[in-house]
Amino acid sequence: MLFLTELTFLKHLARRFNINTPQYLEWPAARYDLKDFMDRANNKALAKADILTGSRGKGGAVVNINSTTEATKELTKLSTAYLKEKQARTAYLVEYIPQKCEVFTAITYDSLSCSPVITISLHGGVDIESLDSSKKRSFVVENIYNGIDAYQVGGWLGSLKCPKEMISKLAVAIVSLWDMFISCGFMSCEVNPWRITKENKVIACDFKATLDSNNFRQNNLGFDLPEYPEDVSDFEEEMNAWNNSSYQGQAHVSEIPQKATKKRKKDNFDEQNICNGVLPILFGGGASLIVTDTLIKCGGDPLFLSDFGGNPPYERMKKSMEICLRHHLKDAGVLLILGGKANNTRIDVTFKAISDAIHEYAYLRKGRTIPVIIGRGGPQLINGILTIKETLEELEWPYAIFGHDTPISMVAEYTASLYKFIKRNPKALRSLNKHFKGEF
Amino acid sequence: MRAKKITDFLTKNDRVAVSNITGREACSVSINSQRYGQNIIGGWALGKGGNFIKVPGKKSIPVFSDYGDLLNKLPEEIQPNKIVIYSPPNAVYGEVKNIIRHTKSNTNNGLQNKVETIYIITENVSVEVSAKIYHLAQDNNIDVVGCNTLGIISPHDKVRIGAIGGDSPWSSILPGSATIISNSGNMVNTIASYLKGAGIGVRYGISTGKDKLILTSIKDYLKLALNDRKTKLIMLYVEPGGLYELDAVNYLKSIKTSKPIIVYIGGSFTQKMGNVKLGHAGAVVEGFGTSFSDKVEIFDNYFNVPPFKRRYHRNIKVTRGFRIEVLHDLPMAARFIFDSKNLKRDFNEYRPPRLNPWLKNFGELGKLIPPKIQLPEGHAPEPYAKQLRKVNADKFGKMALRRNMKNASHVAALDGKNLRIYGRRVSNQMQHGSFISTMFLTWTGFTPKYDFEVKLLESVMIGLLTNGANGLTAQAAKLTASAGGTPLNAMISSLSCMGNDYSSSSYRAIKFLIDKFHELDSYEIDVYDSNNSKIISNLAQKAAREFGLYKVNAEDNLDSYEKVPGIGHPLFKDATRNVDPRCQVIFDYLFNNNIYHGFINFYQQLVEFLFLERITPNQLAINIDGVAAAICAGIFWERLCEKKITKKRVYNIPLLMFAFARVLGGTGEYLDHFDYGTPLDMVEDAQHIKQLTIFDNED
Repeated sequence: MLFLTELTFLKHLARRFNINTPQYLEWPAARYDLKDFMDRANNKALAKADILTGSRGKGGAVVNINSTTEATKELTKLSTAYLKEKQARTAYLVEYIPQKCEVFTAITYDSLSCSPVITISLHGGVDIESLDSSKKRSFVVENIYNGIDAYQVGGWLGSLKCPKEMISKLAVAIVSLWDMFISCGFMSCEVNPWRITKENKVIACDFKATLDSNNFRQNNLGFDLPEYPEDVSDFEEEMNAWNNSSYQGQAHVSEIPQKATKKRKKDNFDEQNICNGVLPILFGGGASLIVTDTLIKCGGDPLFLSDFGGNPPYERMKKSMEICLRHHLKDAGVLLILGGKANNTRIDVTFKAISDAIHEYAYLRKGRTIPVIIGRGGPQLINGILTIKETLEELEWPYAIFGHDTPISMVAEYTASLYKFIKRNPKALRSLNKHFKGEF
Repeated sequence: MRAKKITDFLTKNDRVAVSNITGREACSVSINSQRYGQNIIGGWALGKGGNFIKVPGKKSIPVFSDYGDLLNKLPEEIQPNKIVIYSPPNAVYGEVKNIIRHTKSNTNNGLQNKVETIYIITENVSVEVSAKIYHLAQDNNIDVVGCNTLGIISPHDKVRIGAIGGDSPWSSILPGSATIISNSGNMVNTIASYLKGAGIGVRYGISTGKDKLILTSIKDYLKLALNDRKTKLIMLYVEPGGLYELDAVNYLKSIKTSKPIIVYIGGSFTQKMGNVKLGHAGAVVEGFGTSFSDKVEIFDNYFNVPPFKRRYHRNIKVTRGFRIEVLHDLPMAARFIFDSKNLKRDFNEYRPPRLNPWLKNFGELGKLIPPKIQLPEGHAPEPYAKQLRKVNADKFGKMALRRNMKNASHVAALDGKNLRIYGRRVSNQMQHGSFISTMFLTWTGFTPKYDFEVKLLESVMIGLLTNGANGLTAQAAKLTASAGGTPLNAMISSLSCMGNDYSSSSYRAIKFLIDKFHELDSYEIDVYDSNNSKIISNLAQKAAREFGLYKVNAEDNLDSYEKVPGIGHPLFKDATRNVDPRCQVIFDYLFNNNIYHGFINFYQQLVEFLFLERITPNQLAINIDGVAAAICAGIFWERLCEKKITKKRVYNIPLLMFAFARVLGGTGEYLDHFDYGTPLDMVEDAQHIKQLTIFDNED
């Protein structure tokens, strides 16, 4: 999923879809421009951090500004703000819009009706979850092909007892938001709040959206999505790019936040003994969830989430494995290669690819030796496990190979206990790595 | 929803058509599905019309150029009613529109609407397209399963759609009374194997798909499974994301049912994560009901009993079912439900799940691991054990991993101070080793294990040095000397005289010996243990008879035949029992030192049996290169069984020994000839040359 923030909306989308927005100025800016902006905004503005997280107001990433000096100070600070483990990309100023009313709108897809749904509340500007259900309502877009028109939205607003003088302009604004939603391939978008001025002008005062990466329209936005610092790790970034390069076989990984696994970073002495978790090469979405669940419950500290199922061809699997080893072999205690009984994935192909990757990237580059636990079932299983066995024998890596008669959750439980032993006994890892000389 | 009963999703009478059927995955899955159920009437793929997909032992699947072509060419009675879509994501919407356009045109022409269900296997279809497909299909009274489903299986009818059950659905999913409804296709298989442990088979296995939008919801499947008479238990596997479970439980609360449900909810860790990106893209916030903890709460409230534990109290009255927290508790949980409800299980229980390593080798690490995390001894069940044995046997010897060997060597290394061969210091070998063992080390990476092996090698190398001044290798060296060549030319000349018909016997001999011994049922024997002499004697007798049969057949057909390599010396052939005196030295050494040598003994027995069974007119002599091959085979056998050396290298060593010795012998002839011979003394007088070509002198 890709995210869009308010600043991207202000810069690229609002004008294209005729949505009124406050004036804005992106940091860094010359003092002359800042002064000019503050003059136009009657010295009342908001400084905001451009950051990929919600609750910016509560987190101190939105600050009221009353002077140019204050603006410079706050924008400098906010442009490097850190909130909810995310870092700001930059900061910007928006003019303050006085309002007589605030409205919440969100468009998303509803899993029950399989249709887009527009949620509207005339009590905007607060967390929508905190609102009583009587104060918000969701309207299903009955016909996804025709979309919605202002009369339909007008009817919805009327049913919410929206003041009549606001209905027309608000309905047009919501239709514009729908146009943007459907034309840009969004999965969801939210304007909270729309501020309605005394003159009944409707202005979008905050915005966020998620793009559906599977929707071809998101490739044709007409501008490049900005890159946010530390959004993803190098590992995730490389694997995502690799995953997106083909639809044959999956190469999905996600780093796991430390709070989820209770793991401590590099808590083990010297480089040779770093043992931060289990390196999981998992197959199948369901199996990945179950194995990761079990590993975490049993103290197995998976280094990331993974799913390499979907019958990956040899080259696909080999490179996926290479990327994992390159980024994570150095801090892994156990390598876990695990999936259920495959329906369609050819085990001989995936295991040959994994074996070759281990051989080339772990052995030839003098990487460390770690024990390997394998569990799998499926087509061409025996050829697959004998291939990987021979490689591990050749490299003298300790291993245990299970078939599909041992439940994946039991294999994960065992892997966690082996990992915990290795983590607590640096001697064990050292005995395997007598010739290891650090980074490879 | 069009389906009124669960069988409407799949029965044996369905006629399935597959889009993009020549694609890598679609093709292999369709072949297995056809072998299982023979329900695929055809498929289509752009530009591939007119082809057939061959299905071993079953009817081939015709391929059409597009869906319209398929409808036009197939007779009315086998027009498809189920469609499987394997097209790439950006083509899925087009395929569905096309199918519906044809369906509409059928309806307009007064024909029956044939298509009942569309299964979309394709992953990564956008949410917008999924929503559009849903409405389009609903408007035309067609059910859609997916997107990103793995399909459905009905083991009772022995049919499936998609890939559930893998390449052998008949063995992995047995017919029974549990309907599995799973967000994950792979988990249908896994759950089926757990239930098998409790003696429960599968009525239907359904993969719902786990995209953001699931186009046939869990509630719809549940309704059908609850109404299905043959379903006694419903097993749900769900993941975070979507309101489907909330919707389903609200439905369950609104009806009265005594049919038990077991639920497993995966993804507890997703609570602490923002954007989980696995194959399943369901983790989207829609308020209460979507997260892991919400789903746990929803089901636990509905069941009104605590989740199942391994020591679940018998007094707990389970009416609606329960949630399980650990998936491998499923067999126990299912057994509990069946017993408490007095339901009859479908078949006898299979062995309950346990840690069963098929293969393991923890090496040095194994000595450090405490007993409680030591793995038990395990074994692969049949038919895998048999396959393992077979493949293992086929892969006799080490399978070397290939790599770019430019500027790389396992053999020699200089670590700044010491010169090493395969890691061993040359200085140590010079002090404590012998030339022959170091030569062996250089060629193989190890030295012979026993002293007698070194002695045998040395003896046989002496025996191989020469076979007389008239031998080809010696003659070649002498020709070089006569021509005024250098000793290096002589060495190459000797080597040049070795070929398929001269000197390669040792290569063929060791290959023959290794292949014969590998034919033994338990080939991993100690070839130096005299207790195995009976086995080896039987093997020799068998080999003799096989050769006899082969020879007779060849002679009957007036064909030439290949002789047994390593026996039948051209010089020692006239006595009733022939022996090469060089080999006799080796035999005497073994006898005097009370050493049993399986391979030499095999040869001795073989020549005797060949004679006794009258396959050869007299007892042939074992050649010196045969003995050399047997000695090498003895040294290598244990390492071959342990897969520590490749067969290819093993075959080459006796040949190298032969060549090396003969080059030494040849250079001896060169040095002698160079000192005492006259220039060009090897030139043959022209009158001794027979002119075989007739020619006209005037030409």
